[in-house]
Amino acid sequence: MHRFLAPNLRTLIQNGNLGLELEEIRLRLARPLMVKHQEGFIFLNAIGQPCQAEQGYYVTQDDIQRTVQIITRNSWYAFEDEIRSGYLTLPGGHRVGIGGRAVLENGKLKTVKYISSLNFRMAKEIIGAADAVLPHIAALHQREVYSTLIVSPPGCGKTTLLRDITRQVANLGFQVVVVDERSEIGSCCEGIPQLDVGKQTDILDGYPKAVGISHAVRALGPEVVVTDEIGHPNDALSLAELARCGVKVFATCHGSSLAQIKAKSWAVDSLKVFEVIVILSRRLGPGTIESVLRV
Amino acid sequence: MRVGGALLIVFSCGFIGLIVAKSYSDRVQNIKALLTFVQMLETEIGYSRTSLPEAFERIARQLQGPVSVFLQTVSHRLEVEPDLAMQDAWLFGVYVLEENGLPIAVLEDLITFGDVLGVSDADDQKKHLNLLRVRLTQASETAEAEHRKNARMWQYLGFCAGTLIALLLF
Repeated sequence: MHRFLAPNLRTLIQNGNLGLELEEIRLRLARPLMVKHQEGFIFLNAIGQPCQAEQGYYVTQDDIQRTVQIITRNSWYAFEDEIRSGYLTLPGGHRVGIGGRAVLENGKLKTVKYISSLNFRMAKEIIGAADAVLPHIAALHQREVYSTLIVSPPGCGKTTLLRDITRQVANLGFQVVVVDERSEIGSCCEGIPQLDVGKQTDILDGYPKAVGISHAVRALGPEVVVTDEIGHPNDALSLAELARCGVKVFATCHGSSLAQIKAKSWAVDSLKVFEVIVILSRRLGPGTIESVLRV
Repeated sequence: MRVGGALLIVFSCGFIGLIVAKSYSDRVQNIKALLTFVQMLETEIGYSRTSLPEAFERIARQLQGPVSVFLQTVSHRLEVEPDLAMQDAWLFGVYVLEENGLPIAVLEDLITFGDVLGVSDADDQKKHLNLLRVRLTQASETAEAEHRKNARMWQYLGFCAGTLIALLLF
C-alpha cells in the first residue's frame, strides 16, 4: 500500500519501521500524519516514529497532490465516478477514501476539489476464514448450499467471511455471481478482482443491489448470488426474486443478534429467504463465530 | 578537377537548401499530427475515460514521426517512474518535439497544457483540449503560410547560391 503514497510520506513510513502491520494511513491536510495498526491509532513524526499529535509530521498540500496523482495515475477524470462515490479501489484491493470540497451541479455531487483527506485502508483477505461455517451452509454430498445471512456489528469480519464463503463455494463448482455494490467483496480494480472470490465467480461491480440481482438472474445464470449489507426495504423484493428463481443467496447485514434483526421492519420479508444465520462478534478477535442457526 | 569541385559546391549548397525547405513541410506535418493527437486524446478522455499513460501508448501506435516518439517518451517515463508527476513526464516529451524543430509558440502551448493535463474532470479536460486545438490550428495556418512562402525559395536558393560560389571561386 505504501507505493501509492507520495514519495516523501512513503520514505517516512518505511524509515519508521514500526514492525506492525498497518491497517490504515490517514492523510489530513495541515494536520499530523496518522496510522492505525492492531493496537489502534497513532501519530507519526518526521522520522516515522510514534509521537504526540503536536510533534507529528504535518501533511502538506504537495503530499496530498502527489498522492492523488499516483492513485489516479495522473488521470483524475478516469476515476470521476469513484471519486463521486467517495473512494478508489487500488491494485491489491486497498481502498482510499477521499474527502474535500464538494462541487455540486443541480444539487448532485459533480466532483470534489481541494482534497483535504485521504484515508488508505489495507485490504484484508483471510483465506480459510469460512472453514468453520462451510459445513453448515453446504451439503456437498447433495450438491446443495443454503441461503445464508451473516449478521454482526461493524468491524467484526462480515465481508471477510462472506468473501471466503464465496471463494470456497465457487471453487466447489457452483456458479456464483457477486453483486458488489460497494466493491468491497472482490475489490475490483479495472474489472479485475483484487481479492480471491473463486474461479467460477462473476462480479457485477458497482451495480445497485436491485439492478445487479436482476441482471444476474436474467443474464448470468447463477446458482448462488452474493451481496453485502442488505437492510433496505426494497431488498426484500430482490431477495424474493432470487428465491422465486431457485437461486441461493449469501448476504450480510448489520446487527448483533437474530432477535435484533427480526425487530427491524425491513427484515420481516427478507428473512424468509434465509436458511442459515451466522452471528459474528469480536469477542475473541474479529471473525469470532458466536452461533450458526438453522431457520 | 575544377568542374568536379564546382559541381560539389553546387550540389552541397542545393542539398542544404532542400533540407531547409523540407523543415518547413515537416513543421506543418508535425503540427497537423499534434492536432490529430488532440482529437484522439479528447475521445480517449471524453468517451473511454482511458488513463493518460494508456491513452498515450494507444495513440502513439496510430501516429508516426516525432509526435509518436513524443507520446511514447511520456508514456514510457510514466511507466518506469510511477512517482513522476505528469507535468515532468510531459516535459521530457516536449524536448523530443523541440529537437524536431517545432515552433517555440507551439512548445509553450504544449507546456502550458501539460500543467493541467489529467488534474481535473473530463468536462474541464475537454475545455483545455479545445483551447489547445485552437492554438494549434493557428500555428498550423502560420506554418503553412511560411511553408508556401519559403519552401520553394529555399529549394532554388541553395542551388543558386552554390552556382554563384562556384562561379566566383573558379
